Amino acid sequence: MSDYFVVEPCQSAGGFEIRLSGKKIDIKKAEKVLSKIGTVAGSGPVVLLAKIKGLSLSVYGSGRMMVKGKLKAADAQAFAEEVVSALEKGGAMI
Amino acid sequence: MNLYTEKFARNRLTKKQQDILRASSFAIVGLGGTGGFILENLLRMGAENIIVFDNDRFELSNFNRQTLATDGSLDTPKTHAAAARAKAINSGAEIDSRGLFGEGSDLGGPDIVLDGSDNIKTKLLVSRSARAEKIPYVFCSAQSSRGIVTVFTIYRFEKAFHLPKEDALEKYRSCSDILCPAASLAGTLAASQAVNVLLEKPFIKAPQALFFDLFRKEIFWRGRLG
Repeated sequence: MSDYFVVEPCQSAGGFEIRLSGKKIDIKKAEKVLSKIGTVAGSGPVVLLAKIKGLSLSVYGSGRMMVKGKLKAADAQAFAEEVVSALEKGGAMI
Repeated sequence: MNLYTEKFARNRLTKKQQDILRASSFAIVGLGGTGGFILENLLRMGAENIIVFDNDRFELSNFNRQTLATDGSLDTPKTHAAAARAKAINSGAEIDSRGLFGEGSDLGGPDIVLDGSDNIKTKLLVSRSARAEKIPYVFCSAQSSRGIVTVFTIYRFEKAFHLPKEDALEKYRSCSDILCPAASLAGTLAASQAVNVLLEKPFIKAPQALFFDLFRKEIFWRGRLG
């Protein structure tokens, strides 16, 4: 699982950036998947915004995700694993 | 008369000055808040040879201050948006898109470099590359309602900011809470300073610097770095 993505501090916006390696995200499918584990606040052709476990998550079609909120690196890693796993199982990773 | 001269006639520059701007090569490191406005200003003044460094893509949190961030450019590389913007203003403009400016990066032989990066480590690297290539380094920075602009020619960047050892620079995290007018003003002033340098007009030379705070009664003041 861990070789699918990397998690690193996001310099420009605080929080953490999750990047999929060699995978993109189908935003429409991701919307269905993430609405089961959180609340989708809004979506467009290339981005969706979700609230999951009190954290704000932006998901981009390119395979990049930004998670913001009160969390440490270890929390971000666990959160990323949960989200990536859900997206993978839901067929939202392309 | 041609399209170029007609487009930029209102710059009120002499033909020789406009020719210098047109022929000069500019490097912009970072295409975010300040970098986007640097690019816009250079293009509007008729610059045609611009090297841009950035490996980032536009995201939602960029929209409050980054002029190239639009719904259409969301999740696309910032360098792509820069090239598209350049062509939309002046089809003769050439954008040489490079990735992240980091350790060992080559500025690409410009006449001047303008720094739109958002972290001190990159700024240090850019300043050193400029010094090695013996070209002026236009520094600008914006945060919240404030900003600083100056041009480094001889004075050392490290001395100006009392930088700690390089391995300690990591703790200096960038801050992106910036008002659009502050990013815009810092980028605009940086672009104008670059033009002043190339046209041999007066410019602010480090360690002197121009400071501003949009929330103060006296918005601008001069100070000394270092």
